[in-house]
Amino acid sequence: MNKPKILIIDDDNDMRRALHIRLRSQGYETVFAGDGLSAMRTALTETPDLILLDLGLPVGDGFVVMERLQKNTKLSCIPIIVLTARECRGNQEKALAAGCCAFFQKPADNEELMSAIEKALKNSGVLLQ
Amino acid sequence: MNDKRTRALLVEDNPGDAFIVQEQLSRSGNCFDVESAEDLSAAMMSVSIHQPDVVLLDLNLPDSRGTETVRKMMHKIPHVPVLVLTGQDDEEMGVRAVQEGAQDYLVKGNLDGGRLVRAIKYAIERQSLVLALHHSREQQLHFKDQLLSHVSHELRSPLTCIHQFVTILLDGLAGPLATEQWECLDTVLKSANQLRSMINDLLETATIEAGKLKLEFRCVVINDLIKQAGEMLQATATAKGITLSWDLTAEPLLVHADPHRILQVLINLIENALKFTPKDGLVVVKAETRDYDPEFVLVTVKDTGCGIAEQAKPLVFERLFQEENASDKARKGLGLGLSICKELVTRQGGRIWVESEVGRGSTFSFTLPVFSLSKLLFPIIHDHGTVRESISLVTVKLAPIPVTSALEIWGKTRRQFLDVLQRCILPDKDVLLPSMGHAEMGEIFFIVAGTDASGAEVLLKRIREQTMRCSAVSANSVLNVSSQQVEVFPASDQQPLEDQVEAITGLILQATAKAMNKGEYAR
Repeated sequence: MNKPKILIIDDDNDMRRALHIRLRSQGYETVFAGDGLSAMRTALTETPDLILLDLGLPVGDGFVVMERLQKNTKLSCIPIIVLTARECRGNQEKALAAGCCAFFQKPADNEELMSAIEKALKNSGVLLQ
Repeated sequence: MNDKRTRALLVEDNPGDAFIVQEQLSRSGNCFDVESAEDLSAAMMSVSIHQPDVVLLDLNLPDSRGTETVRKMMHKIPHVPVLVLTGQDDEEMGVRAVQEGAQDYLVKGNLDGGRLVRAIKYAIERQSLVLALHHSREQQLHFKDQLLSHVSHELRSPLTCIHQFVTILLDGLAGPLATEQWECLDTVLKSANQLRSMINDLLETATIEAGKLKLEFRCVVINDLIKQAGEMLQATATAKGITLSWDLTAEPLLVHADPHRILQVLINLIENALKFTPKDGLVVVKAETRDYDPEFVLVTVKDTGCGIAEQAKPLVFERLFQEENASDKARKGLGLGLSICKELVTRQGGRIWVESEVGRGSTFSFTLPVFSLSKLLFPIIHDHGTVRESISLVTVKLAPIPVTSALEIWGKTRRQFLDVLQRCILPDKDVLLPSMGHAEMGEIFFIVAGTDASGAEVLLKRIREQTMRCSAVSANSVLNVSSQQVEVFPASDQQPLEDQVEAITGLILQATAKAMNKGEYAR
């Protein structure tokens, strides 16, 4: 079976690299985007199995990205996990309502984040239950 | 000011005195438009129609006497200068009025035109200076809040980066580590975590200072929260060789509070206790009700730590307070934790205090109001001083699909569904009522929404959509939602608001009981 592909959308290069190393160690393939616009482009060309999304992004923030993903029939069923430096209060509720399946504040607990990713991939049928 | 007419409101019940003042003002040649009122209620009416530039206020009116008169007027129009008129034998009253915030006092027998006009002009000028000062202070405070919040946010990014890469190294994802290297990195991680909690405290304080603290009240089982906080900190306690335990009543104690915020207070107090308690010490968390104070639940966190010196006790809840003798580096923090706790508990209607003896330990206690349904519904039913015109009761039935009716799956589905429901409601306008008891063949949830029939329809749609989206719930259960309007009687002004809320709460309870008994879901 192919490795599940995760799209990391974050404007911080170091953050992308750190997430890449950790996800690689868990057997995932990673692709990247650093702003809202290229996020949509990459999502369309790569069709990832899951999206890790930062909220504070240049050229269309995380909420805009989620809205566009939801509107695209090809992309609307990809599970989204939000990973942001923003406050949980207010943002968490808003993000969950916008369609993400989990919300983490940076720095997130690695184990919790990995298990949320695994759970989301199992729910969407990419990983076996 | 010279080219503009000054609007003065004269509040005086004695026609003779009123006449003298009016005469003086019209004779002074200055441009005054004088309006008069004979009592406080007429004055209040007048200022709400058109705000004057200055108020000349006699203190003893038919409907209000003494400094109370000034207080009421200043409350109504805080930005307008008030000059008090006193009798000759009552200068003391004038001084008291100035202490209450009046700009000046004038003795009625000694009024001459020049003095009166001068006093009015100065009062207006002084008031505008006070306002300018107030405005600039507000701006400074606002800037400070912004700075605090901005700096803490910006600090988070590099900190996250440190956290990420240190954990990558510690987990061996970038190659194996020698023991000593691992230990060094572990120290870096601990410091990074400490830094994170300080930044969180800073942000929290900035939020509170800016008046942006939002509380979401609901019915909370305090026993569960204590257990949760205890379990979260058990590892820390064990690592320090401290026994952490909780002593809870068999019956769950219900409080009216914001669960996240209470958990935060509990974690803060327990962490604090663990910080100041030596090896082999004890930390016990307890929740109880007391007969002499049935309206509140008491929570205590008791430790066998170093205790707090008598002179430091009143200061521990102050911002930036730090114990001078705390020599251990690990004990240092920003000194914001307990002040945040105090703020959080107070805002939820409770009290927090400490009892302590040096060398024997400390007990931090706080209280929270006992839950009652009308308290929970108060902000929904009540809207700016009156009862809201339309209130809907939304009934949500969730039943397991027979094939997957294993109790374990149902329990999980139910929990996930509750998350979905919480996401659908608007915290300021809707309340999800606490569970009315489980039923094996499904469950009914109720939402009281401060909205009319069409608003309720939108809510129903949202619930249906969000449930469909959550495949774990929609695959294992059948959803059925409906709404009804709660009959809100035209409010009579005689009835206190609390009584009206109580009455409507009663109606809602009746409606829920009916729904529970009618359906096949009832226990």
